[in-house]
Amino acid sequence: MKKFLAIFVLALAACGRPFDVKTAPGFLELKEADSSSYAYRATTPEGVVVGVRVVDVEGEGSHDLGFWTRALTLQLRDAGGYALLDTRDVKSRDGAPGKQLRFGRDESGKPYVYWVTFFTSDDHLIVAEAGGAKPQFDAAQSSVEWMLASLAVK
Amino acid sequence: MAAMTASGGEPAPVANPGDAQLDTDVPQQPPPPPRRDIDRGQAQKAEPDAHPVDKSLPVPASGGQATSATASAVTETPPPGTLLVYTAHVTMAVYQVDSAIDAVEAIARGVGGYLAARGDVEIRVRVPRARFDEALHKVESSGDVIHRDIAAEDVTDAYVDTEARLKNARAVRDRLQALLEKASVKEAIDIQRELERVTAEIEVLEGKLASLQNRVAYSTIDVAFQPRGSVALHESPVHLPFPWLGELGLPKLLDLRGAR
Repeated sequence: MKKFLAIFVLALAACGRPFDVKTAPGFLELKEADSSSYAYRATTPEGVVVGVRVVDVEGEGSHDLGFWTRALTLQLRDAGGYALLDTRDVKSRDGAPGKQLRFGRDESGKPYVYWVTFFTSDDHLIVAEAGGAKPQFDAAQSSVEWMLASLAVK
Repeated sequence: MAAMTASGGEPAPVANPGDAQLDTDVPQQPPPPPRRDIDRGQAQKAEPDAHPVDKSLPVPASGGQATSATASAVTETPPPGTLLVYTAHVTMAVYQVDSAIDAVEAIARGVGGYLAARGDVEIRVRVPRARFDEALHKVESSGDVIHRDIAAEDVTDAYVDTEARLKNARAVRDRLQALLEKASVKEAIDIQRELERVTAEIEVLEGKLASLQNRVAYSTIDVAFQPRGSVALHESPVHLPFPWLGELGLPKLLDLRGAR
């Protein structure tokens, strides 16, 4: 009975999200604190993390991917010191157009990878982040890509 | 009222700008969005070949202006024989700096250039002027360029002046050598002393001329790896009303302490 209840609560929580994402083998989905900015986060034992946050946006222009591309680039590259390595057009599993910005950054002489993928959906901006130390991230990249490709936002 | 004649000739005068707008059935197009191309230091960007010069290190025919200016600021084609020293300063975002520095050095060597200086987060290479554009393009393609400028320094005057002084010094040396052959012992001592001074001057001038020739023949590319501005959000020039933007980044994503 308790098991059924736990599954029901998880299903209810999942239903409350305006997105769906699959957790790849090798990743562990984490339960976020109520105050967390993330609606979903999963990690590998090596610290490669995939997180999804839901941002409420509304108003004309809020679905403009170009606006958010520029805003994120300014924030991360120009103010945050991240190197913008690539920008890609992507689609969610359910066909919503999105953008993926691939950044890199050295921290204490070690290279790190940080990807930001985002889609607009109704009054939400779905922002998926993935990052980790480069060697570990490279090892987990296919899983990360699989999880990002599994993201449905409608 | 049509603003343009049917024949496509001169535009007809518009008596009232509002009339032209009322007469058209075409719905107003929304204004184009602001430019969103990523700043790669394009404000500073200039193509050195906008000032074509003979790539084979010409001998100057006349003196030029010994001035230094960014290439983008120079719009006129320099006269033939002008000697320009190109220097590019490129600032790139910090990512895999060690391998990026290796890549810059390899690019320079690949075009016939060489390493001039190398530090932990910067490198200076020198490349043949004829392949300056190619090398610069490759360097910029190897990472995220956040700033770039190119300076073209006109050293024609310095070259012409040094060359003239060298010619004169050599003439003086030749005359002194001729005098030395006919001089008495006492005169020979004085001439020998003067000959040594002139010879030393010739060596200095030859060195200066060789240095100028090398600076013209080989362009310099300085690459520094540093984050643009400050990482502190409060120093960001933009303050959008989206606090979550400020939360983006690896520190927050990778901090799993609040999760279970």
